[in-house]
Amino acid sequence: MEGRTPHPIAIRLDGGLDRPRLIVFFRPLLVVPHLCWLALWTVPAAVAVVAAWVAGLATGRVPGPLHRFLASFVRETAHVSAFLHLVGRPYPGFLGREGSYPIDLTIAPPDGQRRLGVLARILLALPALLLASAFAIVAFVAAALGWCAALATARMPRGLRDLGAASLRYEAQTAGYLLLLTARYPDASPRLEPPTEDGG
Amino acid sequence: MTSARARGVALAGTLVAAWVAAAWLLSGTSVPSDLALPKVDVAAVFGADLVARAERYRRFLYVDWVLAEAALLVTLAVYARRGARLARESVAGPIGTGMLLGMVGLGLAWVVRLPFSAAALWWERRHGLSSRAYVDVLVDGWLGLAGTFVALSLALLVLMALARRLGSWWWLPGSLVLATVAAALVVVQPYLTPGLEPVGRPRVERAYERFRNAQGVGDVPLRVQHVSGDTSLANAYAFGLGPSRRVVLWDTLLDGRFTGREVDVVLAHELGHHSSAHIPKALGWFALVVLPGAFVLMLATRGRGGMGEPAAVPLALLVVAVFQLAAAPAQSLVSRRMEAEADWKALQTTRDPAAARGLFRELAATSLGDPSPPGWSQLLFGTHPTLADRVAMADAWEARRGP
Repeated sequence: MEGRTPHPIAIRLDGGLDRPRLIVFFRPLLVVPHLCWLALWTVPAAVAVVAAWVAGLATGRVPGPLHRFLASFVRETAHVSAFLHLVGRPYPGFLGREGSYPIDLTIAPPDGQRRLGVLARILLALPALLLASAFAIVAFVAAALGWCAALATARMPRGLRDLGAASLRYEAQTAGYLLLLTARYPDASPRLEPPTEDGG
Repeated sequence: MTSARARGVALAGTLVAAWVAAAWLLSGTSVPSDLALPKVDVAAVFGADLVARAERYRRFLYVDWVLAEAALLVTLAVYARRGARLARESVAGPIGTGMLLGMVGLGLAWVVRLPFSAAALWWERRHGLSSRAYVDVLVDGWLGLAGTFVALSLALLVLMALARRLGSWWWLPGSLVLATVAAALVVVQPYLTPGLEPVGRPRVERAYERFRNAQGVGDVPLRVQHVSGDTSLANAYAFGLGPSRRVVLWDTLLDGRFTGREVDVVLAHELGHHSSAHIPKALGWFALVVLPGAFVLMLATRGRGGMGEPAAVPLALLVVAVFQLAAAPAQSLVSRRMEAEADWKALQTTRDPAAARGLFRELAATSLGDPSPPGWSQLLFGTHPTLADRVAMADAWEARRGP
């Protein structure tokens, strides 16, 4: 991978590995309001992605407002997923704002995309979606093990946290590719960007 | 007196007068006001052995309940003092953080009550009244918390947003919103309840149609709920509002322990709830209770910056728990009056006091219901008249009708 430009959708890991037991114990239930909120958000996101697809076919570029809206949706999903999978510590917000969560996605601004790639995006995304579902299972197993470990020690093991983060990153890149946020295919490398926090 | 203070006093006076008038209207009943219930010889009607067993059975549940409530209140009191610290575990803004604190508080309340729920289940299993597995109760309770968390988060979203916008006046529109949400839930609840099936018993369905016409109830479907895999208790209920109204029988009522005439009394009783508009009235009572409840909540949380601040949420949970406990006697009283009216409607419809007496005796035997419980327990938990009083009402109805 040396020499390649960074993927337009990257994950940023801040925050330590401490996880208060009380919040760990109820974590799967605490995200239920977020999941309801994301389910509601899916409706306008679906409309936006259709509009982005039409605009992408017509102009070869996704308009900025649609890109920002879909990026917020993908980022919010990543924040919630990070909390649920114990990759992140604090309870996430509801708006998917950049920089609002320690486990964050940086999503590059809209860039030109080939019209043929836009036209066939769903078909092209199928292999990545298959791999993303495998990563989702990996993230679930890492979270289940991490949940037990964090209940016992009030700390998320670094390896499990990083495995979860790599899985979430691939899922986010796949979502970004499918939702036309980028023309770049997801990067399956498990290597994470260097963490910016002390303990992470 | 300043004009602002005068306006406040006038508003308070108007609210209190409206509250009293509404309570008076809602408390109306078709049970004759001069109906005197005769004394019932409990041991003779229900059998001394059954009464002794029922008392013993209930005594354990009373103690279990008292201990569970005490543990809950202590936990919530500790959480009210220390829970606000958890706000640092959130980056969800004030309302999202309030939701987190509320959900964690309710989760703690569930955990604290878990041993007492397990003890009650053990006691029910020991007496053959439940066959539910402990792990099922645990998993169902855990999953049930998800729904509770969503409801709580919605309520906090509305109340905290109102409080942040309206300051200390949030409780007035907040009560209205809560009452509206409660009404919406009552409407949709029958559509969300799984496993309600047609009864498929011609005799029961014919009797139901007859009673439905006699009480002038519109198109209210009768359904059966299969619970016999979990419990041997017999029950029925009326729920829904407008087009979603339903009457539901547990299949344990139809397993042969109750005669056809006794089941008829149950059908007429449940239809009586609909024909007496008990569900809209219950919603009216809910609105009447929520109004002072929200006012108390507003007063209690002012010291923490008001309901708009997440730090107030743990204290709010404690206030709501104490308020519910304090309101339990009034809530039970309202419920008892409605149940008495439904009993009276059932007697007027079936004209079969012997079947009503048989039903209440059988209910005591199958649920180990104490026919004549202690006054304090009836005050707190008595959502229905005591079984002795229900038998007495059948006697009183028969005496009025004459031989």
